[in-house]
Amino acid sequence: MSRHRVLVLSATASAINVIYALRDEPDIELFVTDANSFASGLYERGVTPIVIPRAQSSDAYRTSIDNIIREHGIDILLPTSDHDVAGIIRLLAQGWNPPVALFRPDAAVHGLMIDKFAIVRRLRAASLPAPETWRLPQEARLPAVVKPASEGGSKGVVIVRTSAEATTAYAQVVAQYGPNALIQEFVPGELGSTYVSLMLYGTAGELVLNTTMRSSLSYYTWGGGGNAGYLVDEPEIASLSPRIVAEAGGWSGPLNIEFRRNAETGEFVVIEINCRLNGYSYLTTMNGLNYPRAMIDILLATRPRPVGMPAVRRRNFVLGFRERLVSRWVENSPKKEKLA
Amino acid sequence: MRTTFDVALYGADRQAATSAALARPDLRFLFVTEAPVIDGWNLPNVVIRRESGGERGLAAREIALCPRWLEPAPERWRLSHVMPALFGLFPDDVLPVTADPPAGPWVAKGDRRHRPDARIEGADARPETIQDPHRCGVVFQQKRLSEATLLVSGRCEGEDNCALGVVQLHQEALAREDFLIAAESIEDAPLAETARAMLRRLGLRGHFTFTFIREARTNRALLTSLRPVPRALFQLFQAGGIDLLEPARATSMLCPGLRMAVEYHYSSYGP
Repeated sequence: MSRHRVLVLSATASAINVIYALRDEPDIELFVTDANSFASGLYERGVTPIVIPRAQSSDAYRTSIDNIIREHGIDILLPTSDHDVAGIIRLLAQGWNPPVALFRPDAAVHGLMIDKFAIVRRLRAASLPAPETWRLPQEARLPAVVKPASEGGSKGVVIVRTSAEATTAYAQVVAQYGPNALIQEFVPGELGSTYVSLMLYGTAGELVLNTTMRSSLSYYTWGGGGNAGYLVDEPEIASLSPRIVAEAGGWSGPLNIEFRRNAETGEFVVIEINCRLNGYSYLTTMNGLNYPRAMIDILLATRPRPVGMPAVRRRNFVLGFRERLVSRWVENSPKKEKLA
Repeated sequence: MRTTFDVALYGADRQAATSAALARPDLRFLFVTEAPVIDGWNLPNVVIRRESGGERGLAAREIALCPRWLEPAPERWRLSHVMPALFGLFPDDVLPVTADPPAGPWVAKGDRRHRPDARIEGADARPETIQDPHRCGVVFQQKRLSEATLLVSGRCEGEDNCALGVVQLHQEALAREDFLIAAESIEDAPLAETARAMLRRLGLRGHFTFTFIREARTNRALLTSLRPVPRALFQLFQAGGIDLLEPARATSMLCPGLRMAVEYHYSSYGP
């Protein structure tokens, strides 16, 4: 059986799902990169780890990926982090055309989706549920959430309740993430009010998979990120999420939309769109919905395998940050070998 | 009282809980937590009990993984108590904490225990953004440019019975907990001796973790906090021949060159 050599960009968060879901597939060989030599996925069983420059270092990043593709005969490329997805889309838009199978979503649509201010404005104009959002703290109605406009994964998010808090938090976010910050309506809700719609679109923009999950423990105490959760059947989200993607211009590849259910109104409100698998998407693989495998099958133009598990047999998940001993660090050098 | 558990870990929502259970698969652990969902359900040597009271006498050994679970109440280990005491004894080795922000850039810290989520930093003299929803207490510390974070951790049963190691923290994640992501034991005899001297003066017994920064300009190691609890380094110490689940019976030092890189472990949890 010929093996496909898959290059996974990034070695944390959603890349962990890709690694766990694909490493035992008999026709797949995994190569995993990250700019951080301590990234967890570099130390996983069954991968060849490689340290490369950051995606933001465009020329060096591109050269490095080109070299890896050539040296290792890579035939499939899967960016998994926000920065890697953005980096690859940027390179494609500049005319880069690597000899690999990869999703090629529209760069303008990507730019809209990751700009939290612009996408909210678009969705609200289309009467889709998105929070009220302002550019400056003095414009905001409190309580509110201060955040960088283009970072995913709850990075830099601060909940503020007074104008003094809003001003200080805004300055802190600008100092840390750059001038493109915003302040957004706070959607009230306790633990369990965060839902994620994980979708997979084919290369022609057709919706292939759509799964909804709900978190029961968050990475941050204020509710951002998911450390535990379960799959749910939520028809309203299943209906809303494709409409949101269509309004934004359509997509190719994986994508997730984070919703928050307003505890006072019961309404599902879009918090953000991330153009990748969500961080805890391995929950879907645990339940027989192997999104990474489906991604490979789409790119190889083979029929995606049947997916899903009856609701009564569904598994929940909790994410543990477990201590693991390693023999040595992955070095930033041409020598590449499996460590486990 | 007859116990069925070898070790009870209080505050077992902390990363250190699975670290301990994985280090000693031959021991039977009781994880005590008030958190609704924690890791550890799939470990065969672990039973999980959810409560907030912290009933004692459930195991031969009882370890608090967070100061909130220390008995008696850990007022003497609040940073506002212990750091001024240490600063008075070791003024060149300690970055003091204050009730009000110092001049210049500062960091807000939890007084009673680690303050969760992203670090709050500022430069204003009157910070008005500092809320304390988790009742950790708030103290302030000058923010210094550092080139490394070093943990000195171990356990101590007396001056001549102290197992200790110096661990360089390569990466941590500041979320609901300060998760250790990558770390490595190093050799730093002067720092180890400073920590031992501090332990002697404090009369600390049991688990401990000192956090030092190595200041960028001066290369000095400055203590930024001390908590009387272990971190998720049980397997690291075990690999170096030190079992942190057993009382220290001699003075020992963790050897350098042991490395940990966190594993993102997915499992299912029970009711």
